[in-house]
Amino acid sequence: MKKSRFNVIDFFIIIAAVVVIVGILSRIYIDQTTGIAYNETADICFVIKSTTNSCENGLNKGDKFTWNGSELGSLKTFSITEAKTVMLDNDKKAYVTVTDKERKDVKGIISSQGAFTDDGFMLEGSKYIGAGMHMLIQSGVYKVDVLVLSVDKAS
Amino acid sequence: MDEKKRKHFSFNIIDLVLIIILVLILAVLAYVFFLGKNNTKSADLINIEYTVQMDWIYDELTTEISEGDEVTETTNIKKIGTVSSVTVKPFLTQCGINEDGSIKYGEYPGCSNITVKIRTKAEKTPDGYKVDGYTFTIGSNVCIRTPGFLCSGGYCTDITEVD
Repeated sequence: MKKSRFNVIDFFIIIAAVVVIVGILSRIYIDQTTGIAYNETADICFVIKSTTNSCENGLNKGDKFTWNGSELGSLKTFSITEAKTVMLDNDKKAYVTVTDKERKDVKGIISSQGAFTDDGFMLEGSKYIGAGMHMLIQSGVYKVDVLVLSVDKAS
Repeated sequence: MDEKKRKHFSFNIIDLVLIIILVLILAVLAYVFFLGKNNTKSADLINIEYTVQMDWIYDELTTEISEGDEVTETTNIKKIGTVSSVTVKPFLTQCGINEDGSIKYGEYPGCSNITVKIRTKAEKTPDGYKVDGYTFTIGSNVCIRTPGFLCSGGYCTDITEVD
């Protein structure tokens, strides 16, 4: 009968098992102690400035958007208005805001899931989203660059 | 009998490789947790207040940054201070030539200029002020974010040592 021996491979297997268990336990402990929940709902208010009429065909309430390979959320509300653009006046003395009937401004809200942390809103718990960010988002065949205006906890 | 004894204490190449891997893993962990961290003594750190100017900021965004916000540098995600003041002014840009030949500046509707002062502890080096590995110099581009606001087009206009 072969005598069982404790060799260096057994040692490594035990170490690996201990590391895995400690990793899982510490992760559970961190989540519990920090109280981070990844299922908080945020209203991401965005604007698309001076875009083409394509937005009228590309946007629909309830559309699901992705960003950088992550599920961003669904379009809660949106409004399309004639674009406001800034130009020099006819005397070329001052900037004025004028309406551009050929282009559109879009303002909307995407309802998203993530975590509100001390560092701000994190999509999937780790991807920061904040006002001032430009995001290339996509819903089906419609892809557009939006500017985030605010991120608030959904009421 | 001798052969049996040798087999019992056999140490082969796989064992050697595993030990080397373990030593490497421990070395990497030791570096990450002990040596990789900023080991500047707190006594070497001085208080500074630096100014970041941001232009072409849409008016709707100006309320998203405020005093007390923690500031994070967006490239390496390092904490680089706390906002001590925020000043919002109309954004002025070139719009023509005055009668005397000088450049005329006009307000750009819908956009503002935000000047933010940020306080932190830094290490003074010949290359600038170092905050958690991030070096500040006057004139350099600064990409910052706070919990509610992000700006990738800011630039440092002033650094002052404070008490």
